[in-house]
Amino acid sequence: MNTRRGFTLIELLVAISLATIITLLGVSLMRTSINSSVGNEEALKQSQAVRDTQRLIEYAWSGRQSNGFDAGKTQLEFISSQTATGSFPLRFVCQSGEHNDFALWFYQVSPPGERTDGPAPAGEMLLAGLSLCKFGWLQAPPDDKAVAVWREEWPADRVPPAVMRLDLATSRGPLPPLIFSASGA
Amino acid sequence: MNPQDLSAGYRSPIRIHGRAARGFTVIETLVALTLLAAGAGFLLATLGASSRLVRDVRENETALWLARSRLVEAAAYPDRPPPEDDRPDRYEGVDYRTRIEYREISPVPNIEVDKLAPALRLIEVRVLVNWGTPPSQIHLTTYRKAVQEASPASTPRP
Repeated sequence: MNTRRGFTLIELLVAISLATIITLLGVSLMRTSINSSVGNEEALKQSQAVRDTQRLIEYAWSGRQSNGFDAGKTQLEFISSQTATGSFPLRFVCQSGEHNDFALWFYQVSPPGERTDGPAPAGEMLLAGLSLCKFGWLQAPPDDKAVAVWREEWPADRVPPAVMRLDLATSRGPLPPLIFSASGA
Repeated sequence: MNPQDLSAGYRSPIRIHGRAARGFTVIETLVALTLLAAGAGFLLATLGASSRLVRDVRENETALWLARSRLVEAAAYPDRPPPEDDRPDRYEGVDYRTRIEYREISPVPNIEVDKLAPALRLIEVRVLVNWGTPPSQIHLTTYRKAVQEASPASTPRP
């Protein structure tokens, strides 16, 4: 008499399908966790780059001089007493890239004599992969009652603003604005 | 190795040398399953806590960044209400609400200071940022010299 008895086919099938479901759940959980960790790492890198940019602009802008200021929606040029470039301006430009995105570039503009001869001034890319990169200017209140107003344009003949902002967004969405204040007039 | 040695330590489901095969009892299976479930539960809880911690850190950083920007904005002209900004403060699916408080600080009565700077007035500018559920809050504070000169009539001296 043979009393050895294995699993029936049905039992085996049920067991295998249960095991498969559990494995799939585990794999999807793992994948979610890996994705979120990769996303976190990217966000961390991005926020580090933004922090570096913030420090650089804050430092330069805090010593903004009243002369040599030239600004548009996507670019900014000014002379700063905080840097070693003397009376030659620093330039921050939001350049559009290949994939319908923007990058923030930083240039130290060469003196006029050197500008024509050599290659274009070497720039440094501060931030990449931006979906929005825009400067804004805070217009001082004209009288005692008024409130300061954010402007998108700044006329060349007006006294340069003390406070400016940089609005940024990435593919993950908008970032809080960076706002800088100049102590010099 | 003798198969008898192998079967000595555990109960084989297979009939060996006339001994009846025996499986696990229900209790044994339940205990094993419970242990497994507890282990999986701890693992999941740890994963969840870790991802929540990362999210908290990122929200905190965003809030701090926002607060710093708003502080610079509000402290630029401390005698006025803060400039209006029509962009909503919604970042990565979280709404941040900003409140700005101005408070005039009366300087500590000090004869030397009073003589040197009779019109010295300080304005405390404080930015409070609230976000999330459960609600979180941070605040940053700075001080600015009041831009307007204090007129003797409006601010009686102590």
